[in-house]
Amino acid sequence: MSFGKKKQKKRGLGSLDQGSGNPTGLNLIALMDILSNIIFFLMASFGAQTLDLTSANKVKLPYSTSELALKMSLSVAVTMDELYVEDEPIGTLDVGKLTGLDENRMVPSLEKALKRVRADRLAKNERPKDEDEIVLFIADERLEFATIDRVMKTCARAGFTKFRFTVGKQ
Amino acid sequence: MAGGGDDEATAFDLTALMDILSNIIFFLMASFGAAVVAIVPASVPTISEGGENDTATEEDKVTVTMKVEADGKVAISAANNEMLPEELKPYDKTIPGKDGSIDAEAITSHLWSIKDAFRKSENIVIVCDEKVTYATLINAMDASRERKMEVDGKKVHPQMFPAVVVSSMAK
Repeated sequence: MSFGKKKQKKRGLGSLDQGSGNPTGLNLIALMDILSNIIFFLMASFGAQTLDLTSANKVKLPYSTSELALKMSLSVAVTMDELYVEDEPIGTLDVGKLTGLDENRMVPSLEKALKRVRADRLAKNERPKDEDEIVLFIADERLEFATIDRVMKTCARAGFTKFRFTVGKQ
Repeated sequence: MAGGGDDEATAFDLTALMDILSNIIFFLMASFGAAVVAIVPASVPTISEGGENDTATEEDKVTVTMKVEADGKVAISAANNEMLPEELKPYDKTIPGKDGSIDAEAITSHLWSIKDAFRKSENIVIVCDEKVTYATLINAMDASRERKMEVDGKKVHPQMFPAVVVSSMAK
């Protein structure tokens, strides 16, 4: 393409600069529009379906046939070594087994962290929503139910009785 | 731009921009397939102040309980506060494990027969043994949530028991 002295009429593929030896000019504007649309679509879909949490990268998610789209809420992640609330490490596990349980076999650090989240929301004077009561539960597929059960019961004791289990789409 | 009054189009060098856009598209498309996640809703049992329980009371509704053991064995039963246990006995079934996990197909098939008899049923309580893995629990939830079937050549996924309560075995 050239910005030479002699302007050319560019009309798609038909604008050959015959005989002059200059490169052929293509009208790329339509293609640019298409590419931009594809990019916006991909970026919108990408943002809606990714789990942008450091803790989630340490988890091997189980696969499910569920088609329900991911909705973010308060996240609790359980890896084989660590326990996270909102991506902040709050406890440790010994190869999938919870450590530091109290006399009721609950996880005190988790309960404390969840109650703090609740108190923060109250302090901000936010109107309670149904979404606030739900925990986005991210857990490793190898964990035993004994561990899952302890974490879920601790969440329930802190006032969070509903869960969204995060799974990989099959 | 040297348009200056005439109606001839000016040519821009868009090739570099095209390269950048193409690269972004390839990156996004490559990442798109790898990071797809979904959710499965569930809840835990709660104590109601009035001492009521969630067991179904309507005639066309039952609450199903599915006990999952570590070796994949599953015991299914149905309950309704207004019906005698003998009436619901035919819906009790124990399904042995398959290849060290649950037999999802057999579970779905039996739960479908319960759903067929009690159309308004939606609740299932999944009770797991301590050694059951999280992956097995998700498989059990998948097996109870919907059935994949073909009607008049069309693939349909009718819902069975989407309302799941996860609980542990009483000691």
